[in-house]
Amino acid sequence: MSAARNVLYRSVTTRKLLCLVGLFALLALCFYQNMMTGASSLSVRDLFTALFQAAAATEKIHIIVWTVRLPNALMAILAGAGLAVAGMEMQTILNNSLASPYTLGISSAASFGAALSLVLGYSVLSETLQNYITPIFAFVFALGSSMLVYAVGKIKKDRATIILAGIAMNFLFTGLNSVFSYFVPDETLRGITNWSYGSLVGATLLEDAIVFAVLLVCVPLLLRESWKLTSLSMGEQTAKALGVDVSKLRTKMMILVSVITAVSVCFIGTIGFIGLVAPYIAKRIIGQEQRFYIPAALLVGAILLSAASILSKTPIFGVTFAIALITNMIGIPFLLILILQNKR
Amino acid sequence: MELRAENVNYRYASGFQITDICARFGGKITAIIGPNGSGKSTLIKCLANQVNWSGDLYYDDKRIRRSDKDFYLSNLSYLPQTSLMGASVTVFEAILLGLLNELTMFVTKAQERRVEDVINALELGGVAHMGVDELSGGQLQMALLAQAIIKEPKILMLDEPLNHLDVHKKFAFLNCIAKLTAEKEMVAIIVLHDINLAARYADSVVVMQRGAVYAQGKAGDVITKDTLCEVYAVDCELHRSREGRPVVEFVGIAREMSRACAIDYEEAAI
Repeated sequence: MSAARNVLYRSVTTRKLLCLVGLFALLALCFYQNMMTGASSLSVRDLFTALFQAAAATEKIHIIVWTVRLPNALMAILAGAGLAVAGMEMQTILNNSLASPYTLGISSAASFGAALSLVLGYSVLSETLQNYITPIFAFVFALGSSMLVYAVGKIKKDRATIILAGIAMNFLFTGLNSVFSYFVPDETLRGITNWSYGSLVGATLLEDAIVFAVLLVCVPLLLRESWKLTSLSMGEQTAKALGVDVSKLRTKMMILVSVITAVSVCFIGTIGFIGLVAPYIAKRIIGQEQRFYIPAALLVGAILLSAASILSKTPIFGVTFAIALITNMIGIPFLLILILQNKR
Repeated sequence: MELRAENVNYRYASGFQITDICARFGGKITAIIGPNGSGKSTLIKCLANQVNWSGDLYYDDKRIRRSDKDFYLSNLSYLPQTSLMGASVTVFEAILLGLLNELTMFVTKAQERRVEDVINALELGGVAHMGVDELSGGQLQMALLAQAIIKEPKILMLDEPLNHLDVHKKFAFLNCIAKLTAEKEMVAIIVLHDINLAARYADSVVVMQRGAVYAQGKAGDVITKDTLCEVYAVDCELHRSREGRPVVEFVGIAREMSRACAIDYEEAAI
């Protein structure tokens, strides 16, 4: 009997590993499709030649693949993974399945930071310098607003309060962004508008590398605490009773999550709902045991943003939609489902 | 094996406090009883080092410092009052969390075997791979007990563990604790509301009232008509079971016989 159950545990673990492999395969497929989709048509042969035999590819193909499609597709994977894992850990530490970088107003804070940099810098800084200053401003504001949300959560332990504070922040920063529109020239306004809609267009390999480096440092740190985080998902009291220093764990995780969120949104702007929908799907597939939940959320987030990127490049009724519109169209029904079934 | 607490003090921001509690938790099972708001849960939280309390704790006459996290992690398990949880974690995984201190990225075969043993001991085989969010209150409580005992603690503290259980499960749960304490030299401290179960299972009883210890000693000596009237403001008849333990038959709220008791109780509750 005991041996039989042991086998059952192994089979549950194997099933979870297989799910991760399946998700990885799906991501590979999405990545390939994302590389193939775009305004210019590209054959499979062109793609592989440009990727693996750069010298043999024409200059046009080389530019399309290396300057446009690859940075764009990699950013979809990295930012999607980052937003998903950030949303997932926000949900764990705040014990609220409605928490995400978007619903807590962190993405709009980043958007405001970017807009502020454009407003302050358009007359003073060179364009090259602005390219660096904007993500830095976005990062600082995202980090600051994460800390603010965390502080609110510490003062008022009520879970609904945190979400309401997030909504208030969302309105505040969106409102402030609108205020700018009265004072800035059209060119800057266009920049602000582009930023607040969120876009993968214009991503560079350097930016990809920065997001990748941050994930490479932060995700193992999350994984190291995976058992403690699993215990926290069973409730603060249970985690405390098991000997977890909950307050210390929360602070540590909030810092990591803020950094991941900030770096994910600082290059691509406000793309909503990935941090909400991806953890939801990952939880349904694999459960909340964090050794599996973390990689599952990363993969699902990467898949969702890659799929949204493909859709945003595919004409629907002759029109292409902004990626943020597509994530919103997928995300809003999910948000409603979550609100209707929200027990925690 | 004995756990001894001296001068335990803790004050909530709301003003409620327990003051200068001195208590011995010897024998196998010690029950802490008392009316609502008397400080039972607060006392057990202090002993389990869940709050920032002051006082001294001795295990077999050896002083345990609050900062001695290793002692608490290795030797003590505490099961707080729980409500139903929504986590998507299987019972197997939840029990595994009881070994939190030694878990790494890879679960060893020995750790798996320990989970299996405790699952067998508590007859949780049928639900081992169900989610904890799918369990009934009773099953969840048994799963959490399994989580608490998997590390084979020397001291087991349970705060109102019978809350969600039907009468059959209450007996099954306490039988299980009695068996564990007999086999593993474990000291169990249980906050209980059911005085008859406390009388039947506990070797010693601590009675709390208004944040202080009202009485403590063997169940037969402590659970008396006068104590119950004084502490709970209830009228009762006391019998003896075949084993000589007290069996309480409650009559109702104390009326004319002891108006003072009732007033006392009301004041304590306020």
